[in-house]
Order: sequence, then C-alpha cells, then structure tokens
Amino acid sequence: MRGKQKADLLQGTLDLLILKALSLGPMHGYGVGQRIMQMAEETLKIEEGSLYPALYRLEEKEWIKSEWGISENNRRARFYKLTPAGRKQLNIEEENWQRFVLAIGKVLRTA
Amino acid sequence: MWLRNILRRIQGLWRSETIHKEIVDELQFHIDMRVEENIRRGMSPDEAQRDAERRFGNMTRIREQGYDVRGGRWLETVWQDLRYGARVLIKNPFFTLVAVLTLALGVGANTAIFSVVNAVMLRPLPYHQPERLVSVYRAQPDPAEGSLPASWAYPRFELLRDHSQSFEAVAGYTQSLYNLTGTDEAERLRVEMVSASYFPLLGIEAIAGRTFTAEEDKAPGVNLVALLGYSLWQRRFGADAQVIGKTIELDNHPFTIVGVLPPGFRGQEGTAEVWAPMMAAEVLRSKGDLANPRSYWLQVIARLNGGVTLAQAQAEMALVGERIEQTFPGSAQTKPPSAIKQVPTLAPLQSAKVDPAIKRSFLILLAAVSLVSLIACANTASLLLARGAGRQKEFAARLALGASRLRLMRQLLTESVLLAVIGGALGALVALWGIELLLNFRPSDNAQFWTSYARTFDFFTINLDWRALTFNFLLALATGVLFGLLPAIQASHANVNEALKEGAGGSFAGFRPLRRSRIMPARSLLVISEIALSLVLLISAGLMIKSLARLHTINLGFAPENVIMMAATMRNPKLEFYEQLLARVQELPGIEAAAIGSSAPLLGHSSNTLMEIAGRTTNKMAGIGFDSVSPDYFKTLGINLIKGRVFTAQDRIGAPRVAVINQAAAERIFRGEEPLGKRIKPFVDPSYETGEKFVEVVGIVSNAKYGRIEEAVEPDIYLCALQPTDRTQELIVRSDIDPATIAAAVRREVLALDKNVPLTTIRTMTERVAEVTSRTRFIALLLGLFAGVALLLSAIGVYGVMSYSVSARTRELGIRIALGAQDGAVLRLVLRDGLALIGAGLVVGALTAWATLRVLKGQLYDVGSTDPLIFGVAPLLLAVVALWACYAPARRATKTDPLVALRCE
Repeated sequence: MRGKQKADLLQGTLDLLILKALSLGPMHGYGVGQRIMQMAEETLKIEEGSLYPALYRLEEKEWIKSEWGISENNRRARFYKLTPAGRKQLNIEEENWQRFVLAIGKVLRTA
Repeated sequence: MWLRNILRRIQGLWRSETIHKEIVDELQFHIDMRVEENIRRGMSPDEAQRDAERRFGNMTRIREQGYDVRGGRWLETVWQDLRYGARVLIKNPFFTLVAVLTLALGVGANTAIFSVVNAVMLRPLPYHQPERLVSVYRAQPDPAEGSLPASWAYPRFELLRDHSQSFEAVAGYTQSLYNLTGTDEAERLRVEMVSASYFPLLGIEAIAGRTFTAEEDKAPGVNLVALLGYSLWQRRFGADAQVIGKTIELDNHPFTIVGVLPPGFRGQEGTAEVWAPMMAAEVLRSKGDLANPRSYWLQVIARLNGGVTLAQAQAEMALVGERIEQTFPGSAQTKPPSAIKQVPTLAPLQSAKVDPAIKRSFLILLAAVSLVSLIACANTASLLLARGAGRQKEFAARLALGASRLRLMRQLLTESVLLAVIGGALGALVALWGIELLLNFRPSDNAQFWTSYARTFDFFTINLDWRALTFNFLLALATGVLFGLLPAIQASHANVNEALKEGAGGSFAGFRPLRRSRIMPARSLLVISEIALSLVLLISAGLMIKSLARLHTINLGFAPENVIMMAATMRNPKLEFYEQLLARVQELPGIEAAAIGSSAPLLGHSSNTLMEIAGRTTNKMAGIGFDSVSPDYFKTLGINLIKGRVFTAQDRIGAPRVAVINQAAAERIFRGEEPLGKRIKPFVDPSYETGEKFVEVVGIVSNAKYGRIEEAVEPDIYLCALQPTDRTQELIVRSDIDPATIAAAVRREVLALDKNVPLTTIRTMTERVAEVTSRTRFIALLLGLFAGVALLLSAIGVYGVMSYSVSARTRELGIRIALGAQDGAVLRLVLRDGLALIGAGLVVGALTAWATLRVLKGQLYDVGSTDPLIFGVAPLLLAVVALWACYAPARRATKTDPLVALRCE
C-alpha cells in the first residue's frame, strides 16, 4: 500500500458506514467505531470527534434510535439501533455509493 | 412523528440536566473503553488517557451538538425568549397594560358583535336543508303597504300547492292569539294553524305522538287536534308523558292533543306554543274562511325540488299565477290594474325572515365595531413602534455583543406573540362578557326589533363565534408581529456604532418636527388615522344620542306616567262583562281612573278603516285609525279635549251614535270646516251594514301616537264602546300604586266575573315607551360605548407618540432651556407638534364622517347625518381629550434639566 496508511473519510460517507455497521445489530458508540474499523480491515480512520455528532444527527433524522443498555464488560452504555426508516435509507445510500464508485472508476480509467 | 419530536423536546426542557449528564456518561464510557484498549496495547495509564482524550478533539462541542439533538436547543431558546419577553413586559407595566387592554378590547368587541350578528341574521335556519326553503308571496310586496308580503286565501293556496311543479312540498301557516279555556287559569296562547305538509317540509318531527295527517287537512272544522310546543308542555302540563289523547280547549273548542314538538321550535314567527291544523280555521276563525278566495289570511312556504333553482321556480310562478287568476277572476278590479302584480313571488326563507331595517342596524354596528378594531390595531402598532424606537440602543448593544440579527428578531417576535396571546385570551373574556351585555341591553322582544328569524332560534343560545374570535386574534397577532418586527428590522440595518453613539436618537438633526427618525412618519400616520376613525365613531354616536334625545322629547299626545295596561280578551266580546269589570275596577283602592278600549296608544290601532262624510261626493278616505273606547278613556290616558265633548255614560245603545276625532282628522279631513256636528261613516263599524249608518262628530282631542313615535299622527276616529262595536279588550288604569298590586286585584275581579277570560300582557305605558324607543337606545348605547373606547384609545395613541417625541428631543429641549427658553415656549413647541397631528386627524375624520354617515339615515330621527351641532361638538371633545393627552408629555418637557439632557449620552 502506497501513500497514506489510512484513508480519510469522504465527506458524508460516515453516515453510510454507521448505518451499515448498525445493520449488523445494535451497538454502542465505541463499538460502532470499532466495528467500522474491523470491517475496513483497519484501513479507515474514524475520527472519534466526528462519530458522536454523526450518531446524534442520524438519531434526529430517526434513522437510528438509542437506549441505555449493558455493555459486554458489564458497563452502562448507550446502544444505537437501526430503525426501519434507517434500513431503507441504508439501501438508498448503498446504491448511490455503488453508482458513485462506478462513475469515478470510469473517469479514472479513461485518464 | 413531528409532534412526538416536539413533545420530546418539551420534555427535554424539564430534563435538560439529565440530558447533559447522559451525554457526558456516554462519552465517558467511550473514553474508558479507549483507555482500556490503549493499556491493553501497552500504553502507560497516563498516556492511554491522554490519547483517548486527544482522539476526541473538542469535547465541549460534541457535548453541545448532542444536546442540540437530544434536548432541543431550539425550544430552550424559545423558552429563554419567553422569559426575557415576560420580564421586558413586566418591566414596562404601563405599556403592557395598555397594549394588552387595547388588543383585548379590539378582539373582544368585534367578536361579540359578530357573534350576535351571526346569531340574528347569518346562521342557517335550524331546518332540514334550509337553503331550499322559500317564502311564497301572493304577489310582490308592495312598498306602499309597508312592504308587507301579501297573504294568501286558502283556495288560492290550494291551487298553488296542487299545480306547481317546482316544489317538493308547499305549506301554509298563520298565527293568532286564542284563549286557553276550560282551566282554572285562562291564558292567551299563540296558536299556529298549519297545513299537514308543514312539519315534513321543515323536517320537524314530534318528540312524542305524531304531527298532523293528510286526513286532518281535508274537512273544515271536523278533526280538531293539536300539537303542544315543548315550553307549553313543560309549563302547563308538567311535562306529562301521558298528555297524548288529552284535550286542550282553545276559545271553548276542545282539541285532542296528538303530539309534542321538540324544544326550541316555535313556528315561523318564533313565538307559537300550540299548533292546530289549517282546517281548524273553520272554528277558530270565521266560518267559511277556508272557502273564501277573497279572504287573505295565510302565509306560504315551500321547499324547492332538488335541482330546481329559485329563478326556474319563479318563472313557473307566472303560469301558476295566471291559473289562479283565471280560476278566481275579478280580484284585480278593486284597484287600478297596474298596481296589481298577481304573480306569486319567491324569496329565500332566510332572507325573507330578516327585516332589512334590522339588517342595516346590525351592519352599522358591525362597521362601527370594525372601526374600533382598526383603532385598536393602530394603537397597538403605534405603541410597539414607539417602544421599538426607544429600544434602538438596546438592540444596537445586543448586536454589538454578538447576537445574530435573526436572534434579535426572534426575541421581538416572541414578545409580540406573547402580547397578542395575552390580549387575545383576554379578548375572548371580553367577548363573552360583551355578548352577555348585548343580551341584557338588547331591545325588548316586543319592540319589533328582533325578526322572526332571530326568534326562530332560542335567542339566549347566542354563543361565542369561534371563527370570529380566531379571525380577530390573528389580526391582533399580525399587527403585533408586523409592528413588533419593524423596529428590529430597522435596528438590524442600522450602523451599530452610530446607534450606540447617538443615544436617545435626537441630537441636533432633530429640529424638524415629525421627521426625527424614519418611523416617525409611520407613527404620525397611525395616530392621524386613529383620531380620524375615532371622530367618525364619535360623530355617529353623537347623531344617535341626539336622535334618542329627540325621540324622548316627542309629544306623545298623552301622559304615559302612571298608566297601566292589561288585556282581557273574549272570543265574543260581551259589553256587559266589560261594563261590570270597569265598574268593579273603578271601585278598587288607589285607582284614579279606568277605561276600556279596543287598543291603547303605542299599541297600534285596533283597525284602519275607510270613511266617508255625509254630504260629500269625494272619494272615501282610506287608512283612518279606528278605535272604540269607554267615556273615561281620554281622562285615563291624559289625552286632552280640544273642542266639543268626549263620550259620557249617556252615549249608550239607543242614544244617538257619536264620534270623537283627533286634531289630525279635524285638520286634514275637514280642512278648515267645522267638524263638530258633521256626520261620518266609518266602514269597520259593525252597525255600518245595518241600523244607523252615520255617526255625529261631537269632540276633537289631541293627537295621541298609536304607531311609530317618530312618525306623524294620522287622522283617527273614536267611537263609544258603550254603543257596541266589536273587539274591546284593553283595560287601562291610571294609578300611582305598584302595577303588580293593581294587576293582582284586577285579575281577581276578572276571575270573579268569568274564569275563561285571561288577563294578559300587563305593562305600564312607561315600559311601552321604553320599548318603542329601545332600538334607537340600543344602537345609541353601543355606538356610545364604541366611541368612548375609541376616544380612550386615541388619547393613549397621542400620549404615546408625544411622550416618545419628547424623550427623543431631550437633548434639543435641554439646549433650548439652557439657552434661556421659557416654560411657555417649550410647552408651545411640543404642543405645536401635537396640534399638527390632532388637526390633521380631525380634518380627515370630519370629511370621512361627512361623506359616509349617510348610512345612518334610517336610524336617525329628526337629525341630519351632517348635523352641524354634532359636527361641531364631537371634534371639539376629541381635540380637548387629545390635547390633554399631549399636555402631560409637554409638561415633562419643560422640566427637562439642561445638565442631565446634555449629559444624557
């Protein structure tokens, strides 16, 4: 791998990643961050400072909802869960992303 | 979803602490996890902690963002604005009180009047599909006949009913008074005789028993059945469920009760308590009336067929009219044919029931109250502008300290809305109270003020009209928002530096009056319009009050004080009964005089008659007022004898028949000839057909008013009740004893003579006078009230503007005083500004009043709509009040301390 070790997130993609992470099941904020990192096989850098504002934003849009629960190490933690609306949104954003990647790919190949 | 969000946020307000703590807890959990992870990867605890925190960046910002989403920063700001707004309002109690009261008065008064107008003429009639109901007049209402719609004769009604295609149903009705007999306490009852189709047509069903059948609509005088009105059923029958099948006696004829009607239904005139089939006319009216095509006594309503328009139905009426004319020819011969339009005429039932005169009265009140609302809005606007102008410095400071313009506007918006909401809520209370007031002061039910339309409803069910309240509230809100924001918009455009430096605004630029700041012209305009509108109201009220005063000084032609009137009505009047009653009543203690008559002044003549004079070849004279009265009638009522003599006990059956005429008759009928000794022949006199045809005029009495008191007295003739004529019923007594005591004593005497004769409608003549002037009094009272409010509001408006103007000129005035200006000069300087505003307002107002108050014409008596006295006094009054409102700020100006003024920055 050349250049930067870990890719910075494109603007707006964090939401998509959070939704995807939560589609595997409810998780607390820390876990969401960890889960994304694992899924990206440590190639993505998640700013913890931007994770929570994103979570709150998604909660306001009612794509996810949150409640207090007990974490794997028996601590009180706030768990986030995908709502049906969030699941629908995830599908839309996934499709958008595929189209985007395709388009960018085409452009890059012609160069 | 949206609502849940808001609710969550409102909840958030109460739990803001908890929310903050939850967010902190959540983030702390994250950090702890990270620290553990870091230690697991081999960092020292210190290093692990630092790394965890560093990864977060600005923790506070994240906390705040979370709080915005979870707790609702938005609502918290609103809450903050509200609290600040409330504090500002409380800190300026005078401003707040005036603004709130102004709004409350505007909203309340308008809502109250509109609620009543809606109740008495706008709301749909309480019948099934009322829009398809029409009144059917026999012919076009004739303005010469007082525009009374022409009634129908029964045979003509039958033709209309059977031969028109446009109607789903046609029904006839007529209402009269009959005696409830065969009980211990006789009573006069209002009975509506109706055709069987009447109830189904209106969609009214009996709550017990049934309504009339087609069978009962066929044979005259055979099936005597009756329906009870709900109120009578309660009152006389104790709401007895077993009442069906019992009998009720009307004028000694027994009627079988077949049903009870629902509460609130009182027939087409709005006063009926008993219903009988049309066929009962055979016994209740005169025999043969049902068969007589020339006896016009019933009214007709109809329900249009679905899909048939009023115009289509009216077109068909031409054919129906022709058919009726062919069947019963010759009716057009009594009058010149051109005057007769025998085509039945249709009018929507709703509009037919609203008297145009009353409609005008209410529209005038509605217009007046709208003016009050406008003034209230102008006043609120002007107050808000004044206060906004006074707060420019505050706004500038807040902007300078970093408040966003949006935030500033939102703050002012909140204040305005707060004001409007409080004012609106109070306005609802004012409206409720106003409706109560209107009900208490409403013209008497007997004053012919209320239409049958209003009576069709239960009058006391007038409710607050929510649409009107909402409309007026929104108006108040809009005013508040618009004029509350104006100063903020201005402030946000202003240069912060300049505003802060300039202080209270004035400085040396402010020497030209009225042009001190950009909003001054707007405020001056508001005050000028306020004064103008107030003047229009004041003049209207003045004209009405002058009319009322004129009405009270009218010479009634008799002395109303201490006169008590009672009706003792017999189906077939027996002279013997009345003579005995009169003899007994005259013996009662405390009676100065007593008389009987077929009617009494202000109650209308018992009849109008054609009359001819012996030896004259000219046409008979029509429309002569006719009454038969006992000898003491003139003495009892205080009607003065002018010439000749009044009746005596000797004018009895067998003696030569005599007549007394009023002055109007002497002047207009005999035109300079000596009336005494002339022989006249009134057609209504029952002896006209038989015996003596002519009666001799023996006396002339003063003109007593029988009809509307604002109209001139027409020629009247009196015959002596002892030389029998029909329809003697009114017992008139002069006494200074309590009327109730007299009535009780008289009732005992009546009962002793004949227990089937009811003694009803007991009232004093003074009450009657108040009744007939009640419409004018009602309108005068309301307009007076509105004008008073308007006067107060414009005084406040002027005060507000002048106070602001003075405070804005503090520095200028201080310099003038420092340079040696005397108190008088300063006072003049300030008052001159005020005078300019007031003068402009008065001119505009007077011109407006002069141009528009024509609309009052129908309501005025003996006062022109441009009465010079009122047009002189009203502006003067307004000017004095307005100047007085200027004076306080002007006085304050003279007290300006030059040192303070110059240092006031």
